[in-house]
Amino acid sequence: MSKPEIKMTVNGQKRELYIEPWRTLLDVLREDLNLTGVKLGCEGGECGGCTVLLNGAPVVSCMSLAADADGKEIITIEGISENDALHPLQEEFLRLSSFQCGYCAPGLVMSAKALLDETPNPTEAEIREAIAGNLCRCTAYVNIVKAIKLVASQGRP
Amino acid sequence: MEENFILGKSPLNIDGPEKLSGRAKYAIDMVLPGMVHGKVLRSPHAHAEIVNIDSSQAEALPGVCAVVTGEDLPVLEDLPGDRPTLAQGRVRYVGDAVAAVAAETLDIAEQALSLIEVTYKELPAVFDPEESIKEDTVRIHASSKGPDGEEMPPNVCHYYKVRNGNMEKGFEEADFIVENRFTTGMAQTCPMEPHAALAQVDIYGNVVAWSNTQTAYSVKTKLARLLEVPSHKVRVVVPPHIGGGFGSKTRIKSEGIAAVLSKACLKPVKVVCTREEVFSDTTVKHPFVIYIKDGVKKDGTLVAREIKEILDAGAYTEGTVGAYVTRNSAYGAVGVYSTPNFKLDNYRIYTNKPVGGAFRGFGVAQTTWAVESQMDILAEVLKMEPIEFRLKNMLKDGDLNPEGYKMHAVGSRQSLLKAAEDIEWGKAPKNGTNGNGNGSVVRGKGIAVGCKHFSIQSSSAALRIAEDESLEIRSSVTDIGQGSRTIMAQIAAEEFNIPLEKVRLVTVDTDVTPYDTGQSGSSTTFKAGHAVRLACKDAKRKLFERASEALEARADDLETKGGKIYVKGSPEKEIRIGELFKRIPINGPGFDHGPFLEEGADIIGDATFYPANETNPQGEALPMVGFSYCSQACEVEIDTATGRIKILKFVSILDPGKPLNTEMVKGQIEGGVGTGIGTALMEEMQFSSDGRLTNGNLTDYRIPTSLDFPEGDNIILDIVETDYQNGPYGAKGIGEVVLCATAATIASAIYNATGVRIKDMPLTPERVAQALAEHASNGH
Repeated sequence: MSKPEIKMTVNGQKRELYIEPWRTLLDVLREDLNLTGVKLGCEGGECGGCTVLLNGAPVVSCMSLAADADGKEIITIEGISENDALHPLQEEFLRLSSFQCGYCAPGLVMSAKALLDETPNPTEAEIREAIAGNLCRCTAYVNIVKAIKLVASQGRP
Repeated sequence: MEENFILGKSPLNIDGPEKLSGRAKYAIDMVLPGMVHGKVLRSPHAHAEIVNIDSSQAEALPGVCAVVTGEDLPVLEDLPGDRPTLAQGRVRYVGDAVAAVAAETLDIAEQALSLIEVTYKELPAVFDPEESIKEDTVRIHASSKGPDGEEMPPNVCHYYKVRNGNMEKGFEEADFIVENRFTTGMAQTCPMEPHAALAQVDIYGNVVAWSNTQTAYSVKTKLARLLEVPSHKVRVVVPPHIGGGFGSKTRIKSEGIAAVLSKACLKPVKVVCTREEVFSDTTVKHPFVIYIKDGVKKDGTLVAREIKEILDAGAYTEGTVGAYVTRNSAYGAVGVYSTPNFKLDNYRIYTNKPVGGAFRGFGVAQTTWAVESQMDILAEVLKMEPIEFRLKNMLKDGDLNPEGYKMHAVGSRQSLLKAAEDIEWGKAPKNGTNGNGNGSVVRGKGIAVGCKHFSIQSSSAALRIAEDESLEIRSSVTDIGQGSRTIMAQIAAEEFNIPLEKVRLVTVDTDVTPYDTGQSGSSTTFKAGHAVRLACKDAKRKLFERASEALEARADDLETKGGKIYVKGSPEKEIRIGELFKRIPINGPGFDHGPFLEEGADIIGDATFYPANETNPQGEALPMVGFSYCSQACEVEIDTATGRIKILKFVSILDPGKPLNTEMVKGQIEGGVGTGIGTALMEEMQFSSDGRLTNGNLTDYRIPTSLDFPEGDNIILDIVETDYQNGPYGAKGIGEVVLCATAATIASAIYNATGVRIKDMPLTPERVAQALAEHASNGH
């Protein structure tokens, strides 16, 4: 069985992988690259826990084939800040207690980053729309929305 | 009172940076060298005998490591009707586990499942609990015994009753008698991390299971029985981070399958539930049918209340949890109102559906739906203001509730009044203007009170003081997101007056961390908070004995702060904790070990907390140590054409006793509002006529998204404190009460807006639209 070579940049590092064409991006990121910040929640594109940025756009990696990422740039939660520093979104999620179990948090941060990269001054409605695909069962999104608003108002995504 | 050092403040979650950076490892992320994957073959029938299982083709498939069926396992019933790990002779709902396969890859495991041939003989099935209880219905279990061996009516697995006063006399005294029937739907807790376990069994029968359970020790006990080994051979490890639980991760879940497969192939086996399996094969929120009959006097006195609740158990008992839900749901009717004549009968009844278990609220949310809706209805009958009617009948400190429990630290009144104030009760909502053009949009306000007892449970803890003046907590408290690891660390930091950074918690590991009943029933802060507090006291006692000689003072006169031990009243007489640990001199006299703390040694304190039972006037122990209260109020907008409800404003006011971490307590209130609104408005598991779950995914079974809540500051989450003497530092258990009143609050607002009282929940657009249409066609 042939495993085509796939080249992609993951969190700034060039990767060359030989993977079966039917494998999802989620599987490859978690299992081959040990990027377990990409969360498996439903494998049906429903919960948003596995959201990553593919050439800057948010995608649910459980619904993307790894092969389709050939030649593209991927950023996961592990790659949005340098070294041990937290990204401003992560900082405000921490400070405002925007998470509880934390399982949805990586996906939410990635969706929020994609929004702020595109729309630096979103309205609350735009924020809510941008994260509507990320399910959180521990909260009612109160402090999540607040944290994203705050980062936007500081102009430092 | 002296101000607390760190309790009652809001230090940030100690696990935040790890979780937010994506570096936190959850059970689902665990891997071991040589690990293989487990999958389960499930029943396509709601009720059938298993005539034969032929797994020979599956076993022959290359890459398959083990195939296990119920025949390979011991027959275990903690209680009559308990669920086997794999079906033994009979399947009782669509999705019941029939056989399990371990294979080198998930693809091979799935292929092997398709090669197992099962011959079934179908049996008649029953899905409605009110049908199931009839004499001529098919029996779902052979035994008709209850948990204590008592004879039960057909298909009844648990029964609980409360009796108080004289019902006949009570109803005679009443000027009005109001009877109603309420129902609730089946819901799923939907933790974002699916249930997952990784098990490794060795040739000596030693078992290690890594799991995202909420109850490490109950999994340990059950695994020992399932694998037929002494319990000391079983070790359950729970990673510090768990992606939600809300009740469905109590008791054994995927650990059993992983362990029996590992025993069969002696390889590490990982089992991860698919989202559909989380829906149908973990546990669900029991659907209830609630009959309630109340007698009130003209002056608004509630004189008699009679309740019968039918709990849909699904196919199995779910061990003691089923019995607890049957009992606890009764407490939803006894914690808020004085009721001199009270009668309650709760029946938990088998049907051929997924198994009912713990779901945040533990049955109390369903009861509160009926009781609080009924309080509104009674107020209307009496032409009384609903808040005034509630306050008139509210239990106060010192009153006996219908169970005979003497109430104390009752926060219902304060929370109700604060909720009323925050929703501007009595001020009419603004007229709706955002209609879709097909029908009118109306607005209304609603209010309700919830109560939840926190259950009586025990917990042990150990506390280790190290030479670097840090503390290590050994506790089997699992953190499912509620923040208990931070709360426990705060308690130790408080006791030693040291920064939170100097405290760490050991990973829950039944080989290392002592017994705890598990994170259920809003019990953790109460029981484990006490256990950690007492372990700290024990460790401090030992520490002060060590320091006593150096400070030339009695141990009882010593105190500690910031890593120093000092004499009370003479803070200049001090020694650092680290100075008690001595490096052994290499030369000269004293070059030997001795009765002193060596470099690298430790001081260990420990404690077990057993709650003191409170009793009724007859001296019988009551399984409750207190009630927390949460009143909620809302303003909603209803599109009368579509039945769609929009929450414009939601208020939730909690009595947590004294909050130990205010922001985390508010986080619990927020979560209660989230799941409360979801289960009130949209969440219901649905079945085909032959018992198949038709919406076992997060698209067809919707849970709330960011678009389902009001914007800006229109969610108000607040606290009213009460003086609760029995809690650790005054804290009550609060994780569940926060959603008990939500559905009744919203139904009350719908009534206020439309004059239509809906008695079946969830309040889906279809149900609301239908109720409005029926109301209109009745000439209203």
